[in-house]
Formats: sequence, C-alpha cells, structure tokens
Amino acid sequence: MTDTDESSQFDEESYPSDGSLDYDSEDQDMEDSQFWEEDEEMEPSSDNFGAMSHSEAIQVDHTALAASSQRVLEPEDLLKGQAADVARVSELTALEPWRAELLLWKDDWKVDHVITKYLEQGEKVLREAGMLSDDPVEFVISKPRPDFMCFLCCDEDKATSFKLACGHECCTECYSHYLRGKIQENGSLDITCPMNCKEIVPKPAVMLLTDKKLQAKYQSTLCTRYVRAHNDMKWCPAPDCGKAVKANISVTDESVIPIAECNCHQQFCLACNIDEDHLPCPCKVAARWLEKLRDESETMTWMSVNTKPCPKCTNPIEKNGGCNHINCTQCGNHFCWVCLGDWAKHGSSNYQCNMYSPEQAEEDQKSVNAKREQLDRYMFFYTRYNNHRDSAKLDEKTYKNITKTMETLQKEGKMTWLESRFLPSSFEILRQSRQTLLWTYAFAFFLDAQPEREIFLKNQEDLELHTEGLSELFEYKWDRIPGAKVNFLDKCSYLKSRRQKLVEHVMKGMEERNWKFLN
Amino acid sequence: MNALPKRISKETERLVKEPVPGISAAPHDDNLRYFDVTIDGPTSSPYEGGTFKLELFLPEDYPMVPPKVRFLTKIYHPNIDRLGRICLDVLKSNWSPALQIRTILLSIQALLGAPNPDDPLANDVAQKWKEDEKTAIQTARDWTKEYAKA
Ligand SMILES: [Zn+2]
Ligand SMILES: [Zn+2]
Ligand SMILES: [Zn+2]
Ligand SMILES: [Zn+2]
Ligand SMILES: [Zn+2]
Ligand SMILES: [Zn+2]
Ligand SMILES: [Zn+2]
Repeated sequence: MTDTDESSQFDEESYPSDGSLDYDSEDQDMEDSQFWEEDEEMEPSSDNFGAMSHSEAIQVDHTALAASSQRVLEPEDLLKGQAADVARVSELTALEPWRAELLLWKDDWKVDHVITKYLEQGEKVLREAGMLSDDPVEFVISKPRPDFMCFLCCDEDKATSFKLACGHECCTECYSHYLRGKIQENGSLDITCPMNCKEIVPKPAVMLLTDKKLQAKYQSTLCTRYVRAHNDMKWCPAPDCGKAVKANISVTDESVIPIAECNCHQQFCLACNIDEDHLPCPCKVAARWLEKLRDESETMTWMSVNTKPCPKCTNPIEKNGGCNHINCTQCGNHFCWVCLGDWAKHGSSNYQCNMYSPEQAEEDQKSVNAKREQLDRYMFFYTRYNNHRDSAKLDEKTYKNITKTMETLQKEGKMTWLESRFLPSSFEILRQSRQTLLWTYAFAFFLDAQPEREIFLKNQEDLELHTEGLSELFEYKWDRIPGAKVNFLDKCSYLKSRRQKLVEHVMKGMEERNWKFLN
Repeated sequence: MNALPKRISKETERLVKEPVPGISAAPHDDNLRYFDVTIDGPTSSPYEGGTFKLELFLPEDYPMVPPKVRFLTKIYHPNIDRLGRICLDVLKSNWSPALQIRTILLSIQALLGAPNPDDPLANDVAQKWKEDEKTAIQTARDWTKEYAKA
C-alpha cells in the first residue's frame, strides 16, 4: 500500500461503526440532498456528485472563468459516492453489496465497466477479485467448531472464532489483531485471509472485527483509493484539510485549465500536480516553466566573472590557477580560457592563441553569445516572474494589516465594519491578479512569434499596470481609506475585467489550438 | 516479558522434535524468542559444504509480523548484504501469519540454492553475478570455504 499522509484527516465520528450506512443509504441521501435526487432522476448512470447547476458547485468567479465548475467533497460525500456506486453495481448484477464493492475496488471504481465485465464473464471475475466461493456468506462471530485450534495463537479453548468463505478459522482475537496490523499499514480491500490464501476480507468482516478508530482509518484508506481512481477528483493539498474536489468538466481536455478552489481557499490544478492557480498557463507550459526554473538555477552562476561556459557543452567552468588550458569535467572538452578555442590546436608546449583561425574563433564566440543571449532572455522573464512572487509575499503582510485598519476605522467612527468590507475583497482581487500576472511571464517565455502574441503582451502590460495601481492604494494610511473607497472599487472592477480579458484571450486561443509555443 | 505464547512453544517443540534436514534452530535458555540457527549449504550450490550461522528473533507481535532473521556467517550472495540481512519476500510484504519459523528457514535454504540477482540487496554482488556469473560463483565457493567451514 502506498500512502500514509491522507489518513489523519478522517475523524472517527464521521463513520458508521457497523458499516450499515454504506450499503443502503440511498434513502437517506434523497432526504438530505436535493441535487442528489435531481441527478438520480435526470441521468441515472452519471456519477454521484450532482449536476453542475447546483449553486454551491460554482466557486468564486475566477475558477468559473477557467471553465472549471467543481464540487468540494467532504469525507461523507466520498462515502456516499462509494455507497451509491456499490448500490448500483449490486442492483444490476444481483450481487451482494460487499461483492459489488470488491469488484469496484479491483477495477478502479469504473462502474459501467465492472457491470459489463461481470455480466460477460461471471464467476471468473469474482475469483480474480478475491472471492473464492459464491456461496452466500454471513459475517458473524461464532462459537468455534469442536476440535478447533487457532492456528495463529495455537490456543484450543477460545470462546469465539471467525472465518470467511475459504473456511480458514481463527480465534476472534487473532483475526482482529491481524486486521489491526494490516489496516495500520494502509490495507483496505486488499487484505487477504490471515491463512495465506487469496480470499479477501470484505468490508462487513472488517467492520465486525475492528474498533471505531481502526474503522475510520480503514474508510479513509478506501476513500484515498476512491479519489485516486477518479482522474477528475483530487485531494485538497492543504495540510489537514481532508476534503477532495471533483471537476464537473473533463479534465483531460487540453484546452481547459481546471483550477479548483477548496472551501479552505487552497487553489490547485485538477489536471496536473501544480498546487496553485497557474492561469493563464496551460498545464504543460506551466510544467515546462517550473522545470526550466530548476535547470537554470544551477547555470545562473554563469554571469559571475570567474566562470565561462564550456564552448562545447556550455557547462560553467571556473578558472582556478593561472593555466589557460581548461579541461571541461562535463564533456571532456579541452579548450583555451583566453580564446575559448580547441586546446589541441594551440600546440603542446607554448600555446599561441593567434595560431587559431579567426573565423573559427568568431564561430565559437557566436555560439557562446547565442547561449548568453538565451540566458539573458530567460533572465528577463524570470526576474519579472520572481518579482511578482516576492510582491505576493509582501501583499500577504499587507493583508494582515487590513483587519487592523478596519478596526481602527470603526473605533474612530470613520467607517463601520460592514462599510469597510471592500478592503478584504479588494485584496482578493489583487491577489488573484498578481497570481495570474506572474504566470503570464511563464506563458510569454515560451510563446512563439505570432500576431496574437502582441495582444497577449498588451493585455499583460495592462494587467501589470493596474495590479500595481491597486497595490499602491493598500499603502495608504488608515485615515485616507474612507476617501479612497470609490477609487478602490473602480480600480478593482477595472482590474478584474483586465484579468478576465487576458485569461479569456488565452483560453480562446487554446480552444482554437492557435497558440504556438517555442520548443 | 509476557508468558511465551502457545504458538511459539508449539513451533519450537516441533522444530526440535522433527528437525528439517540441513537446518537446526534452538532457542536461547534465557530468551525463548531468540534462536540460534544453522543452515547447511544446499548440495550442488556454491554454498555446498558450508554451515551458515544465523540469528532469528520473534518480535512481540509475532506471528502478525514476520520473524527477524540475519546471517551471522559471512556469505557472498546477491540477496544477502554485508550485514547479513536477507532480501526475501516472505520476510517482508509476503509474510502471512500462516507461515512459520520452519517455512521461513526452508525459504532461506532455497534462496541459497537459487540466488536471484534481479532482486538484489547486495548491489555489487548482484552486479557481479549478472556480468560474470562464473567468477561470482567461484567467489561464493571461496567464501564458503573460508568462512563457513563447519
Ligand atoms: Zn488465536
Ligand atoms: Zn483463507
Ligand atoms: Zn482544502
Ligand atoms: Zn494544471
Ligand atoms: Zn596547464
Ligand atoms: Zn564541456
Ligand atoms: Zn587561445
């Protein structure tokens, strides 16, 4: 099993102790959730998380702007989703729910696939999923058979025992003890019979033999697997959040950037592993940029006086000592520090740089220059990208002062709390704009020459100008704030529309597959 | 320490009464969870003629967790490292409480007869085993002569 980090987010209370709710909870779902009911009626075969139209599903405008309608899923929602899938498979295959659940687990919760496969292949599928017999099973703790000796503890006088369809009987204590170990190691529907046979211990058996705390851990492992199995679902990456987000659109469509926002305000991309809003960059471009950042951080040292790039491989070489014969450790190139020419042509004893053909030298110098030019170009975008990252950090400081300012305004009788609510919402606009702005530099870095590029750059310039404009307002002392309210609101609405315009322009190009990126 | 679980006494009893050919295992008098083990190198393996000492310890949670086993005698084998640790699936993820000390020792004996350089613990040995099996086997023989003389 794989993960440990996602387990702590489940508290024991959110789970039924007997597992009963998991299988027959449909009625309850109908009662407490209206969209659920609608969904069931409209489109019985679709997933269980409600239609896009549900008002809560639409987050703040910028995610909608990314065409990402989404739904935040609490642990209970995940359990309900699983229960509904189980109920559906169980209904259409006439299998007991616990068998349906094992099939779903085995085939990554692909409901329709599981149903078809079972209807086509029958019992074979059950064997493969760890159900060795299809006799009806009752999961009960019972009195052991007369000549019973528990194989695990070798005791003969145990009051109760348990066995699965495979018939391997162990005393209840040993069975529970065994399950505890497996669950703590993130086992779930892959835990087999302790007697080393292939029979899987299904959920009702686990529920029967474990305490509440272990059941919660077990359910959480199941949920982790459930979320993993869906490419349109992802755990919120914020530590200790414990919620997942589901997209109600296709996340595999490359013309879409499904940036999700959790109820805890963490933003992350549902299609790639970047845990922030990387609009307007398509995932691939954003990933390339981050890779570039990693690569270049090493080569930055180039610019320092004592290093030169190796003319062959551009590995930065530091000259130590007076000898001009340089041997590149990366590619093995021998070259001359003074003219960067091939050392072999300098003669063995007393080198003369003028022995070297000026054309060749020019050629070499050109390639070095080209490399430097590339680096300069990168530095241009990197500096701006990084600047906005740093500014974003400073903005966070500003944000902390906002509450103080609001308190002061109220105390001095200048503005009520309600009247000063525009400050935090303006800040949110500022934060979003800066976030988009910094990624525009990554986008622009890879953007090939094309007419639309000019429009993009113009939009970027505009966004930058007005982001800084709004940012400045936040520097005002508290007593200037009431007078600046209109200014705040104007700047915000303008900035918002600038950001929207820029993102929409990029998205439109993506839909039409118009953007050409450099290789 | 708690009283010795019945399971352990039973296993020990059987190991002594019906020993496996080529394997011996005896618990310490002062710690019945700690066993001195010897395994004879299987015939027609590079370890033939050697007697290898191992230590085996049954953790508190045994049999829910596997026993801890380690070679004490120096051995040249791709699945056994310098410290005598053994790379064997049944000692790790494939452990099941249905297995016993006996089955584990048999698996180790089998491992001596069939080294598996594709799942190495001692990388340098495995490398050698793959590149130049002849020399590797000779080294294993030499080590057996030098360190595992009965
Ligand atoms: Zn028992
Ligand atoms: Zn079994
Ligand atoms: Zn969250
Ligand atoms: Zn992405
Ligand atoms: Zn020199
Ligand atoms: Zn080089
Ligand atoms: Zn020169």
